[in-house]
Amino acid sequence: MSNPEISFSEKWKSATDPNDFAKTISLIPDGPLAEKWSKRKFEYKLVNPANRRKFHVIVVGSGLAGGACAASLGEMGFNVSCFCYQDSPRRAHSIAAQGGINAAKCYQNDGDSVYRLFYDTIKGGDFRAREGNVYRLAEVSNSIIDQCVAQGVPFAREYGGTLANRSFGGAQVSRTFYARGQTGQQLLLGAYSALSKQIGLGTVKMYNRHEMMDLVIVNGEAKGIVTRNMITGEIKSWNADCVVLCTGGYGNVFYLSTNAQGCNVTAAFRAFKHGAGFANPCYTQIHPTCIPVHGDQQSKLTLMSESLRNDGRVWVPKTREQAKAIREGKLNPNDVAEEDRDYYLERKYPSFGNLAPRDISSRAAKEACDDERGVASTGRGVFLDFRDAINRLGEDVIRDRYGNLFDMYENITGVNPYKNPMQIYPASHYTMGGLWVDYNLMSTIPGLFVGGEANFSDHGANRLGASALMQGLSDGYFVLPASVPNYLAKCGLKGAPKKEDHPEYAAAEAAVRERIEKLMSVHGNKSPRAIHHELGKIIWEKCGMARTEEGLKSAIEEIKALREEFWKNVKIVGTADSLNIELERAARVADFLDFAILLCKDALERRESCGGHFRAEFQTEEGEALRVDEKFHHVGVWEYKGDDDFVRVQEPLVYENVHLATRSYK
Amino acid sequence: MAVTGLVLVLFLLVHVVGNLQMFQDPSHINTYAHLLHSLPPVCLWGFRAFILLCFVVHFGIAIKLKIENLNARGPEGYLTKSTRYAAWSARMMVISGIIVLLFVFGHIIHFTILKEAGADCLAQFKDAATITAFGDHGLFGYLGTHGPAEGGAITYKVFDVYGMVYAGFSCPWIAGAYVIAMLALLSHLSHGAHSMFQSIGWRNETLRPILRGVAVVYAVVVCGGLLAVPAAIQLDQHVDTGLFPTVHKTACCACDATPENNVPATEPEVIVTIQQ
Amino acid sequence: MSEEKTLSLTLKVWRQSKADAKGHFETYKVSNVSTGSSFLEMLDILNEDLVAQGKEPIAFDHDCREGICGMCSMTINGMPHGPLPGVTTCQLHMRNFRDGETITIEPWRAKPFPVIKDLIVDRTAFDKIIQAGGFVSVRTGSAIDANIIPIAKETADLAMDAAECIGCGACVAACKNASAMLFVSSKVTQLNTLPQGQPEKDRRVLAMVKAMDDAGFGNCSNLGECQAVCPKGQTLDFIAKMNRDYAVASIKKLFKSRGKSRK
Repeated sequence: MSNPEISFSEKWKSATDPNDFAKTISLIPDGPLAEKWSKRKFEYKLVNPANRRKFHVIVVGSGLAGGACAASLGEMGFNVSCFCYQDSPRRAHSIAAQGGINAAKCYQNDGDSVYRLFYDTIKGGDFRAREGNVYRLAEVSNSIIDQCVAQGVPFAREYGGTLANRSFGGAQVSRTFYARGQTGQQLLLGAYSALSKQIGLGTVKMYNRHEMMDLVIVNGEAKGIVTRNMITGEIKSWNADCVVLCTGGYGNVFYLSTNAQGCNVTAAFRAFKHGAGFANPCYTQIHPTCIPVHGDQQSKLTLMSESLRNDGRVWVPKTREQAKAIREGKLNPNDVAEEDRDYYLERKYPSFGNLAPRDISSRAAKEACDDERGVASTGRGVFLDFRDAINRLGEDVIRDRYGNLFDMYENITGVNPYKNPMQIYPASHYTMGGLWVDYNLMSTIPGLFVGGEANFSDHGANRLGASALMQGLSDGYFVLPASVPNYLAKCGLKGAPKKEDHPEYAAAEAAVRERIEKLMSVHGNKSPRAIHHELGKIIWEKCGMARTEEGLKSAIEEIKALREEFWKNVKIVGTADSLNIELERAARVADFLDFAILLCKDALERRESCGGHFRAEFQTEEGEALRVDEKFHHVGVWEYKGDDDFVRVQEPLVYENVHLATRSYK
Repeated sequence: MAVTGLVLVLFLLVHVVGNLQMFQDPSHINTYAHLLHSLPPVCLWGFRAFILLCFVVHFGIAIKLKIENLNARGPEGYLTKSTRYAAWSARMMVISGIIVLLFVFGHIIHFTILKEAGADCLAQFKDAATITAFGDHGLFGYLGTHGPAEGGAITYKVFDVYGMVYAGFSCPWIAGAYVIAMLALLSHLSHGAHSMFQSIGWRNETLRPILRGVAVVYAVVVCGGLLAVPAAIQLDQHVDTGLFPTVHKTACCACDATPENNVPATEPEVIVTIQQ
Repeated sequence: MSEEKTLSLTLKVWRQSKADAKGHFETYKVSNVSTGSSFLEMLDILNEDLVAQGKEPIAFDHDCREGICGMCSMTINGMPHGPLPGVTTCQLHMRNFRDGETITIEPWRAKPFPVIKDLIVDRTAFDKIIQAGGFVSVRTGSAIDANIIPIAKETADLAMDAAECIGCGACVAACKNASAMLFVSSKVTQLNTLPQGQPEKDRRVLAMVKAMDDAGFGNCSNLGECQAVCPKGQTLDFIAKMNRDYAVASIKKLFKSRGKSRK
């Protein structure tokens, strides 16, 4: 399926000078950091308001990035079609983000600034993100807060009527804006309301319960998609001037994750197969504060907001004996004496303590459990204890701050967290990797833009808390609505390719039908869920919090075997031309299986430890991640050449402002 | 719904106050009734028409809403349906409303239309009571005949409402129907009398339980007041309660109960009995 | 974790192959369900069993499985989202059921929520109501600084209370009139309370109520069942607020100056 018109690997290999690469391929504007985005916005070509409705833009996904982008483009007057697989755009998984959204407003007078947010994000990402993109993110963060407040997002307020902030992992300032424990919900509903307004006005057409099955390339440019109507099973292609993918991350490759059940890699992986570069797939974030796995029937891991670490203290017993007694229910954790508790984050990282970044906290939990000092029945859990905070502040204050989270915890586990310490364990949460995009958020396929978690652009090797919402809305409200029209202006007014003039549309539809037919005709014995579950186990064990060369190599073999089994033995009941939940899952799992190999290959090739990617072979004596900057200070980008034939090329990272340093939160 | 409901709720309060005069000397309720009937016809009929209009609108909207609601519920019902909060009275609004409606028809026929039409069975009560008025007689106008003035007071012969009510409620069937209707009204009011505040937006989560309580109390008071009269009269049929000392124990023409104590109307002294 | 046991259950589930097909109840047995599993995980187990037998699994809506997306929607033993107050179906855990219990599972029932398949219903009517006025008209990028308009904490808290609605539709499913007042009033209260929502306050409430009526939802008779089943604890307070705003808006509309007559 590799398309010679799109192929980028040869060209990239020949671009040896990093500055040249940044200028000609990553398209990062030159000049001072603070002026790059203004400069670029001025360079962008514009579309005359009267002509905007003649351009058709497809937006796939209706989360923060997709919803905001569709709403903003629609508001400008473009003719937008927005697709989502849920029953309403309001259900996109951005809704589940709990903690908050960062912005460099410095309302707290604590020394925050755009540059500090930029620096914290670069450092939090373990110096693996682009300077230009991250600075832009920090720069527009303030406008995001303004925009959301104007939309009626009810952020928390002080008694004086000004906005309240809380602190979050990886920062020493309070810059996180929040709406109780439902910030993602409120921001998404803000974007959804803006989108709804445009749907009501007719500038955006919304297609619920439509899943993107493939991308359509016409003359080397992305000019449409193929969808499956999830109610009728109808396969249909849609033509447009350009396509924007805001389809989220691939965390569900772990089967158990904090992602929604429907989150999948299909849209991104289909684009990859058509020649879009896939960047840094090995950068997956394991969130440190989730409710531990309890059994085999579990379908989902529930996140407990990182904000809990503001007041909760993380610990395990100092001795294995006590940990064992707790696991067996012979010892009540409240009876463990203060001197027998190992507050390991406070011990190891005294200046950041319990607010150490996610990757570091997760790994520390894993180390404690590997040392057989884990709690929970499985031994894979640590305590998050509010005893001291409750003694200091009173139960009412804690209830006011985290009441809904505590209720949720009690509801899921049946344990009252006001009386007993919570048990938490890391779980797959977010994926920093994604489709490669240039500074304008366009992928290596012209006309294919990628926003939000689906792209790789802003978080480097690890994402700081409260930055995902910021990035989604930055892309959706501010970057894509500026860069997409620039592309459209260049396309000119010739209009989207007509389906009847271009066989590519019919061919893409036929290919999708054929693939579905192939899935339906296997008639095996194993359900797609069972295979997904097995895949998740392999990835979690061998490509999870700690990876080794040996483990990754064997994982690739296991995945290949599993994939073979899938295509021989998957069982899909029902028909293709009706609502079929098994077929939906099978199509997603099929892409996860292919993608998992890419994930492991990338993890294998990145022979260093950085951020969310920890290779056991590369660690300091104290067990901290050991980066290998001289070899890996670059973005690893993969091109699809054929089945399992992926070529890795590099985008060198050019740091003009930040000096590479060993990340220290001690 | 709420506005007409509010009017009807307030009307009921007035009605109860009027009815409770049955426990006083007959002259009170007869004077009251005569006073009302002596209002200029525009006022009397205007008021009646207004109440009737509220009633009709209340009922009309109820039908419209019920049709819309049934329609909204859709064709397929639940196999099992359980309720977590909604009060029984609230779910029974339509049924209690219909019972009240049927009752009101009968009630108006019984105490208003037959009377206005001068039905034979009520003929015995015509000009059967005497009331005394002092001072300005302006409002007492033209109805009834009156005797000579004694010390500034004039006595009037008026319709004996007291006797009619007593006679009516001494019939167990009528009293029984009345009890059922009042229980329905109790149910209807205990939801309606607080629900109306919600519908016009005069309620919040603090006021909600308070208004709910007030509505129940109100419903109990109103219905208790309305029930007190037939209950006492029924009781009076069997034991001498002493509540209706001056009564002419007549039977109602609506049933065949034989008059046990058909004493001709006496003319009581107003001022003597009022202290009881 | 609290101690876990396993349960065996009998399920009576509504099966309907497509929107215009006739539905019926089918009875299934499911065993070895951990009390620590969620209700949806229990259905996953049943579905895996059905698939193994070559039968079509039960289609139901679900996505985030953490109680916030509002997608899961089923009536369990006559109660939307099941017997535990204040949670969505995905957050309902099997420790709330007894071993050997028979559980009846039905879709949301309401005319504006037609069944698509089995337990899945179409809730686009909710989207239409929001499209009619559930927004503040503000152009992207044109907003003033977020702290220019101070908002009292109490006001912001009230707006946040109202904004917590997840749009699941349990209120409609529970209402004997299939009224959507709790859903609509939550959005109206959120936006009509905040200063940002004031310019469109009257227009919003009139338009959203009209859209609600046009969609075929029933009327509110103040029973409060919606509030009792709402997984997010939305209250009748919001409905009272909407009724108030609606009354004021209607009266203002009646008497408002017309300016010049327009063709």
